[in-house]
Amino acid sequence: MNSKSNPKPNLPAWFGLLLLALWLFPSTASAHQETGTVWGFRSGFVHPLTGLDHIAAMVAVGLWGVFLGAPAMWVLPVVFPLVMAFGGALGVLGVPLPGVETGIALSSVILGIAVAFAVRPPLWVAALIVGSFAIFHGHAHGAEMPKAANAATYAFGFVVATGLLHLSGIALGLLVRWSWGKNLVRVGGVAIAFVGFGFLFHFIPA
Amino acid sequence: MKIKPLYLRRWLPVAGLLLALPVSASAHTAISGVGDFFGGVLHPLTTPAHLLVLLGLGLLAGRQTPLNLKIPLAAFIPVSALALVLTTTGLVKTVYPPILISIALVAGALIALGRPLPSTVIGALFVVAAFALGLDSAVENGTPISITKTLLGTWLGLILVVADIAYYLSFVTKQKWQQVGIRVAGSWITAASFMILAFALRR
Repeated sequence: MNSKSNPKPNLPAWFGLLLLALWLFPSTASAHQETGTVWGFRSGFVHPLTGLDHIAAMVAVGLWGVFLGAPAMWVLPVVFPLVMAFGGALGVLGVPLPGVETGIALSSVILGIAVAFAVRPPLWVAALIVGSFAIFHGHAHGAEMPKAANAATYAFGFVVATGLLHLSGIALGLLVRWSWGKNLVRVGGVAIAFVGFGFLFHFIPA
Repeated sequence: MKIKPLYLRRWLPVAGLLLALPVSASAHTAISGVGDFFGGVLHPLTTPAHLLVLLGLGLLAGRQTPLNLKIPLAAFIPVSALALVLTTTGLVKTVYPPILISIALVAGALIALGRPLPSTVIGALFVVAAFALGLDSAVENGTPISITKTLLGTWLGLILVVADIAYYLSFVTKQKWQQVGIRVAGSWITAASFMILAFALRR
């Protein structure tokens, strides 16, 4: 048969594998506590992905990094988890940190504005801004860590998920090499700032 | 002396495949059904703290260019064997968890810094890690034969995991972005370790 009578399927091969992986992905029965190694990782991995405020800020870190160019593009995703872990430790240890939710919302506002206006401060200023906000995000993750979760895999899960969100931001930010992409990324910054304002003034429910 | 890539190519993948081989069922190992030896082999992979340490060590050794596993493995292999033998004396049943996590934290931080390191520093970290990992892999009960099988498996598992990570990582250290990726992974290990330390101290 020629290729016309036997056309190639439209879906790539990896799509089938993705479906299979999703099918195998376990869901939690509501009566069960999330205990053990796998549940700890799942719980930690999902945690940053369940809050729009976290997602917006993490993606903004990646987008801003691209606008700042090398080495900031890579320094920020290295700095953020390290400082976030400090905040996370405070949360785990029960050390109170005032204004955590406000800090998280502000991080989306400030980082979104920085992306929207393509602000390019010196690297140390950018690292200081990102690092300051990382403490609030880390504290929220640490304080909300389920008692039953395996500490090691929970921590690794949420660090990896956070890092992947940064990488997503960087990947999206690479559109700046085209003029239309630069505009699109800046519009993305506006959207992120808007989300931040939403959480800050409670017109987006937390 | 550098370990020849051809030698590594022969034994590491084969040994890695051995990890996946099924054996007759046994209900007395940490992993039901895999037997004493393979239960031991899989032990480092099923203990998150151990895996974090091994991941840190593997990345630390593997990111060095050119790859030179002689010193890390020359330190790791005998010291881990010694520590595993020491567990049979019953003097040490487990290692204080923050010690293990601190080793992962240091390894992760050294990776995140991205600076070339003297072999002595890497070797010293491998010695400390091998000793801690070995001591923390005690077999609680069983016959002398089953304990011996489990400890042998654990020893092989520890070596394989760290050597495999280092060896395969060495293929992806040429490009700048790959080196940056390894540094990012190091920062993730450090961050996770820091959090786990806090959790351990809270308890």
